[in-house]
Amino acid sequence: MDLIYLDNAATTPLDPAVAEGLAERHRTLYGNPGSSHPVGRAAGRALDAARARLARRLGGEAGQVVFTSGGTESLGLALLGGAGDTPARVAISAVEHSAVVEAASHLARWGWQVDVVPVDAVGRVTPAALDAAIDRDTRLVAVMLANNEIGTINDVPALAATVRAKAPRAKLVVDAVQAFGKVPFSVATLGADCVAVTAHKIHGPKGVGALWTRATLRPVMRGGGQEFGLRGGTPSAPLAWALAEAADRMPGGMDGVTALRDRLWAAVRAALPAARLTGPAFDDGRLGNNLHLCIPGLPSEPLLNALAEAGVCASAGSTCSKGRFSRTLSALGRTKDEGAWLRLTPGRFNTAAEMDEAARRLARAVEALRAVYD
Amino acid sequence: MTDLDAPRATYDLLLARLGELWLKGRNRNDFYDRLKRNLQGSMSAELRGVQVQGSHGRVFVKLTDPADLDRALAICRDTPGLSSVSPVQRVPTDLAGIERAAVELVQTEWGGVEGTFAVEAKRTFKQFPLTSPQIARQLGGVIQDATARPVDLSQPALKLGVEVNEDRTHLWTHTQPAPGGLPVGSAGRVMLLLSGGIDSPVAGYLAQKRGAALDAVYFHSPPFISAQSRDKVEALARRLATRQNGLRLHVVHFTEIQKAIKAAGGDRLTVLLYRRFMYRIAARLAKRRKCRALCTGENLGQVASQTLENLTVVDRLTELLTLRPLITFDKLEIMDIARRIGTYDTSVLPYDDCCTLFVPRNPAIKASLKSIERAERHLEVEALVEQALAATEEVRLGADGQPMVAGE
Repeated sequence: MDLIYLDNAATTPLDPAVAEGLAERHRTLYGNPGSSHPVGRAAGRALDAARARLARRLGGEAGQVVFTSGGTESLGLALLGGAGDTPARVAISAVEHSAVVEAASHLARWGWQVDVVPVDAVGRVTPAALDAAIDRDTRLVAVMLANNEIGTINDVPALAATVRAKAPRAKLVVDAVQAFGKVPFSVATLGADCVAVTAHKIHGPKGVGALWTRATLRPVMRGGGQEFGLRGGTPSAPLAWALAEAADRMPGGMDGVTALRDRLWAAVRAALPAARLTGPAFDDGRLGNNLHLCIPGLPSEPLLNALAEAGVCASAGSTCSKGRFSRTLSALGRTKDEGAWLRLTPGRFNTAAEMDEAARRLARAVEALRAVYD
Repeated sequence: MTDLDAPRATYDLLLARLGELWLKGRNRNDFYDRLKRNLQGSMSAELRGVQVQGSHGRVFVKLTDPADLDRALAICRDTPGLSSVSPVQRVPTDLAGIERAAVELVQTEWGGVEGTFAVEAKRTFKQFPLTSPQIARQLGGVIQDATARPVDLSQPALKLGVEVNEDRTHLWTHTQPAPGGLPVGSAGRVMLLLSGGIDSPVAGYLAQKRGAALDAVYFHSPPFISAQSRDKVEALARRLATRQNGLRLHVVHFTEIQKAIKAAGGDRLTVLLYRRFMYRIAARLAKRRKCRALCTGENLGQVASQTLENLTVVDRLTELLTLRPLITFDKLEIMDIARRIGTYDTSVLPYDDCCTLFVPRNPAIKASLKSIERAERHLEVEALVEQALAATEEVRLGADGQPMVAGE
């Protein structure tokens, strides 16, 4: 039975062209970019080129792009490296990824006050809610551009304006891990101070990400002064290339993938009329690859297991919060008992036929479980 | 830990001592051979070129690489049938040589740490010119002269052990306890009902410690139970497999039985009905595999299914003896052992247990055999058991705990 991979929000299959180029560069660009001999300088040039290319893609300058190991490290650098010596207030939205939540808890141990900004019924942070949660003592604000579970896109420029007006000394940190390559944006118009991205959500390799920043940060990982002194450790020119390449190979919008998602939802709804969409409507600021639904009357885990057995790779929500009920769904006031929660996220390498087949397998799994639970 | 707790000298030989009691019996040679085989198997699964040799009711483990010492000690500490283990220096039986070796060993092991010492000597070679107390006194004097440290026989900081045999003498300063018990396999084979929880791996370990070799049976219930839960049980089985040169894990697909019980309205008896099916299936597998008993992690009063009444209801099912090593343990005692044998961290990973599926909030605390038998009349018991047995998978884990691939 063919596997159908519909968990692209967790991670994506490596683009074959990126895989090939990466293997080639691992052979040829093995130098330490800091070395002055030809092998090192070749790697250094490639690293600079990747940085410039990624900066272009983000709408920023090369000198503002720090390569990291991925989204979590980028967000950790922005929040922990962006916090000054004097404890103050940090505001994060109620639906942030664990990378932000855990960094904020760490700040709490340093004496910071953590303010959680509630979201509306579709998971969106409104300027009014943000305004109510911050004041002049707020020095850090973290909101995501697009939510990892239900795909809600925030109006970051509007939120940035709120931050400037109410907490002018605050740095705005934006988790763009899910949005990068899928929602067109430019750091220039977002109004953020730090923006975190990663390669593995856009068919690049795991192990490389970046932080665009125009703020003054301090390094979290110290060492040889690499990456403008913000991140010690020998940078990998091949991985930096792979991030820039993967980003450039994303169409920017998500038309093809959005069509797949829409087709999948239509097929699921036809087979399972009881299924309900979670989060915003498709035309109301939602990631084009995100389908999140609730199937009433069933628990989540058996349905996911049955889908896995049927060769459909999906998830209930964030892969990074195993064992607990989703923080995002809780913030929306939803509960575990409402039914089986299911996140289906197609990607560039899925086909229309797979959408139809996945809906059929889902319907069969639901039917088999209903026979037991009804 | 003081600085004297870990060996500092370079060793390529371990002396492992046997649990003494069983040395006298008629099965002594069988036990001894089995112990050496078990230990050789565990060592070979991890370390290259290790040789296990027996002599005079002792087991010697010869290392090819002194860097393997820590792992080799850890394996001995985890081998039932051994009572203790020491890294030893071996020298020819010659008084001047023994004296030199004793001073050198004590100085190395002492490092810069202050402290008193004592010598404990024993000779098995009765023609040696000095008696055991004379050897101890002689070496004590030599060490005192060389190091200027005081002797303290009651609470020495460092104790030198010496054993003089006919042609070779062993010296040691460190002795670590081993589990005692009997060599795994010397008591025959039992079928362990293994779940992903804390208790059953500990029950399996305790049965191993008393000489039982294990087969394990796990009841898996896809899709209600995740594949990760099964992986977790396999990880626990690996911890048991390394102690007995491999283990067979029988994975029973329990889904249909659970669905049938739910459909028949198992209600307050649900868990007991599950457990009766588990016992039936385990007993059939036990017979097939020539196991002489079942073994479970059951514990008096821990959960509703483990009251005396409810234990009786499952116990009556099979003529096979059921070992319940944990029956009177407190949970904290069980957790202590689980930590010691390295299963605790795996056991506490989140997992779902098929016993909690479709279970009402108020399970029967004191079920009667009569009510259970009445409920079972609505079930095709024999057909369900047959069906589950037919779908049972056997996973063979090797002495290194890894699944064995056909042809290996």
